Amino acid sequence: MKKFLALFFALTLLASACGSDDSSSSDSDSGGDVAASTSDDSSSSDDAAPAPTTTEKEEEQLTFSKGELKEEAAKVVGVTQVADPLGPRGPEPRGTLDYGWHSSFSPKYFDPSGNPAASSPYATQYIIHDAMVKNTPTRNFAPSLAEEYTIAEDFMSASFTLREGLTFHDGTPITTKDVEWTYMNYSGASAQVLHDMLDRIEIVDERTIIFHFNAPFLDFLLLYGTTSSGAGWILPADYYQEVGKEGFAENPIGAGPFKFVKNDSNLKITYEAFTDYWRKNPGVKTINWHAIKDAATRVAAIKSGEIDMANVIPGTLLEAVRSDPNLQTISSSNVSFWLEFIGYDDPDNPFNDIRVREAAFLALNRVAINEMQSGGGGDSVGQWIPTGYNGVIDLTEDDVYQDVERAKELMVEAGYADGFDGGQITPLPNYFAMGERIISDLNEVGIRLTLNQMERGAFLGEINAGRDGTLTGVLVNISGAGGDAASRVRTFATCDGSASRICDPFIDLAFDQYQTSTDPDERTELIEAIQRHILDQHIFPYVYTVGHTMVQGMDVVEDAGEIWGQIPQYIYPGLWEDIHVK
Amino acid sequence: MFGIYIQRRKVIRAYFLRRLVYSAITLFVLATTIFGLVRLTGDPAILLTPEGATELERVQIREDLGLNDALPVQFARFIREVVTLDFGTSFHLGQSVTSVYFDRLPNSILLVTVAMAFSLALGIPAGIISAVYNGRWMDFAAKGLALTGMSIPGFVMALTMMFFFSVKFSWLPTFGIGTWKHLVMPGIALGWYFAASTLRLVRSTMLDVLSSDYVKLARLKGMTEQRVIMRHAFANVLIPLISLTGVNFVVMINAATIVEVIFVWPGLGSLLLEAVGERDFPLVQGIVVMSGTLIIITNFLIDLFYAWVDPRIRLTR
Repeated sequence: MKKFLALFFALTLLASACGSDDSSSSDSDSGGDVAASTSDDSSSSDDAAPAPTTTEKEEEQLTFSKGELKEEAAKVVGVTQVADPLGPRGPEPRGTLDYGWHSSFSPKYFDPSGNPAASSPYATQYIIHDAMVKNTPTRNFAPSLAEEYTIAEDFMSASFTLREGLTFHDGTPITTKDVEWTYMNYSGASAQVLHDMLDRIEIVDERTIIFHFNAPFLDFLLLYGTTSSGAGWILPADYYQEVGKEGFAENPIGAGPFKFVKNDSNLKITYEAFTDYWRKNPGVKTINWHAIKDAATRVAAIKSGEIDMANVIPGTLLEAVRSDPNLQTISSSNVSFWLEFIGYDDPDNPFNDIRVREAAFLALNRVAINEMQSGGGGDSVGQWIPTGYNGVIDLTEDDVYQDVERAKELMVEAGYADGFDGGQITPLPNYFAMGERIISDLNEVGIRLTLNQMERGAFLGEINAGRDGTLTGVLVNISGAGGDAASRVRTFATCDGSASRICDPFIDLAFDQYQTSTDPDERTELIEAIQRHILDQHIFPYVYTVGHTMVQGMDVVEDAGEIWGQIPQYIYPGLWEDIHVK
Repeated sequence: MFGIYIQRRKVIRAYFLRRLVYSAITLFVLATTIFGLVRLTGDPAILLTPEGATELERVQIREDLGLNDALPVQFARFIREVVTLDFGTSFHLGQSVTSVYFDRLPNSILLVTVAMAFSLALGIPAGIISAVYNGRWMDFAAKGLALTGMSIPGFVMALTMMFFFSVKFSWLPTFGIGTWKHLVMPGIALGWYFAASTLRLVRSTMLDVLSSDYVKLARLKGMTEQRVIMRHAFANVLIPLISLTGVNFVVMINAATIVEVIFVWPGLGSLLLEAVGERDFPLVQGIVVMSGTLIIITNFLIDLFYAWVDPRIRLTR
């Protein structure tokens, strides 16, 4: 049996080496237009701009047009995906990397079994854990713990083979039993669909496992192999069951490039290099993760050199870091704000008139909002579904622009020459300054609103209440959840969507067809048609795409463009084992 | 004589028991209030479930956390937790509330102690000097110091110091805990305001005392001015100063939140702020009740100290 597998593996390797159009070679999708130029190994684009040197203090715009993840997911179907050959292990890890995280830290980040629909936990999990399949800077859906995997052509099964000799940090071998247990005990984002679609798990041997589904599971790889769920991030089954959830959060063990050392009051977490990591020796010996909520403190810490990398510098403090020749900044734009007109389907609501909605869309000065909020590091062209999410329609400046005069004309045509009182506008806390900016833009065309400031928990409660919520007027919405265009439509735009405040027959009909279709082309068409409808009807007018500026000091060897935002739907540093300090 | 001794012991015991009962009632009222107030902030299941979660998933979370139980049941469970000092597991941290609290408590006590020491070290001498040199430039300088202390918000002081001492001159660390250097800026930022209030109290009390008859007599008897100030005048400042110190200690623990966030000091203030934002009922309840208990104990000890110092106090209800 072993000889047969070895022969099969060798033949597969040979086939992969000869193949040319599978996802392993699509490095063109590892960055997006400008971002591709920041990657040293981008064999993608011959006309990519040269990568900036470490002495250059250039701010670059990263986008998440990592592409068409869905297209890539489709490409891997029916073709065994084999891991890239391993490079040299590299020298012994050395040095300490101090990283300034921008919010509070929760020990729950150590445990992927309950991951929320957010990217924050994955910043920890890329350090301490590893997945069967994960996105990396050079390859999407890259086999990681898995040596190879195959998604069946009929989407009814997915088989994985673990690499040989894998161990967790405590030396325990990683087996398919751990893979099975991790999947079965996963309860975080997308858990429902992952469990509902599963028929059974077949453990062939200690290294080979097959997931069998009860219906074609087209989105399996998108959920299992990305930051859409933590089900593929493998936990030590025996250890976890022995210590329990709380015990695991206090002393986590994983299979990633670094192992947990200690947690000081959830404000400083120390990791140490795991020199038995399958891929290579991590570049640094120690990572100190500091949870520094206050942005001014993060800026002071990076300017003083106490930390080497810092997350999320707000627009108001950008000048302090941009003017410092010892720092590199890089911006990544990810999620978008959009407007929702609550109760717009009521004929008495002024926003019921498409001309009024279009006027609101045309009134917004997105460039100014971007400048004010993100120091220009965000994006002023886009739509409510972030660029880079699979299935999203990318828009251009021809589609998204400001035209105040036309907006005023539309208001007159709609019968609101003197404007109207639109009630209140409720932005996400603490984006109240942006709310004021929107008020001023809309006021210019006659839509008068007042600012409604809510506490974060109350705001999220209203968002998740959907049509049962009590908000009125206009909502400035945003979502940090990963996924794809379809998941966004499902949540925010269908009648039954858990956070939806709208009920549009066209959207629901088209989405029902999408859900029952097994034809990838048809599904793509339907999702695009839904997006076109939402855009043409101005149901969710786009505000701007948030730009997060990250900073790093000169002690980090790699250029900022090589580290930040290189992984789709993940704006934090990665891969951690590739980072070195001087 | 013996009878007086017995009488005195009875009075002290009665006073002690009275304070103990009042403390227990205060603690009960505190616990009940925080139990009710925290539940008015909303549904923690919304923050604990992923975006797009169904109502069914939120119901399950509430079930798991015991939030679906009737309020009296939840309250009874909470009172049992108060008595046993086991406040359950933090919703958003997944850690034992008690362990998280006691992990942070020493840090808060350390910071407040340093800030208090700074406020007294600055406020007392400045207040004495201001009173002794009343109307002269040293008095004006001290009053100016008091004014800036009470006018400048703590976070402004904190960030200004950080800019100069950390970023500009690299003399002190920007954030964190570990060495005495990490205490300097947070201690000053937190203690600065209270130094001002201490200064004002010492100054005004000293001015009253310095004009009293027994101080005049002490001077007439030929005592040195230094002895007059320290032995006779300052001694009378102690009682109100102790009262103020006790009050300041309590206020400092609350005021430390901003300083803790700015300097990433692992204290209880920032923990409570985080817990409120996350609607983490067990953590909020645990911190408030345990901190309230400490404050009640502190006040109780101060009351006993007063009663020991001043017999008139223990004879009143």
